[in-house]
Amino acid sequence: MSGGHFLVPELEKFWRTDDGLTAVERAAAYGIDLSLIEDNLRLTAAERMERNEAALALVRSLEKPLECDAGA
Amino acid sequence: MQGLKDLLCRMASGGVDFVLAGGFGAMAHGSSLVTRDVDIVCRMEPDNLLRLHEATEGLRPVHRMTPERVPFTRDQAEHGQLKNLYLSSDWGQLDCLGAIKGLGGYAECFARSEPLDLDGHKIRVLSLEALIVAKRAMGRPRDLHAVLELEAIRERLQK
Repeated sequence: MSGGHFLVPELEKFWRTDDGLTAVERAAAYGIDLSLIEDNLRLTAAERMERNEAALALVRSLEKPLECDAGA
Repeated sequence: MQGLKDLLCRMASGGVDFVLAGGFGAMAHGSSLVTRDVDIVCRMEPDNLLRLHEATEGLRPVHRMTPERVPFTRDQAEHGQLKNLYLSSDWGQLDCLGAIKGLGGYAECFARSEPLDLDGHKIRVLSLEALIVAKRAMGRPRDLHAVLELEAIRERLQK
């Protein structure tokens, strides 16, 4: 199922759940780093949100010089 | 600098009826995806939108989908007959949705939500199961990663 949106067939197959894989196996096959999820599950929801803020702040700090370059 | 979590706490303090959804909701359940905005399903009635307006007061909320980035005003909250609100504020982007594909409106989403304590503030977040249903119903390529993570988390928690 892809809701009318298109993915290359190699990725489209990951929507299926009748592939004989467990969900963890399917996520790993897709390339998801399961250790990140394990790390997250050790945190509270509030701590996960704070990590998101920190990651966002880093992304914004990296974007700023790029925006300046684009405007130059 | 304050951010998206603080925005949620502020809405909870202000008595806004909402359910956390989307990528931020997925992250609350353990997803590792970084997200720039908060999606909430909320009652889009004037009384609730007025509370939302008051909760975002001072944060310079603007309609981010408009080219002029028009401010979100009290008058719009009261009389705008809004179905969705896509705001940008000093504390981050906030999408207020009247309904979520695959789940329905606020009442249906509330029924499929669970309580979450955020620094002493009680909010509601879509259950893991409901988030999976919603993400699968959206079916966009970018939802696939979230679905795979959430289904792996569900399996991991069932063990």
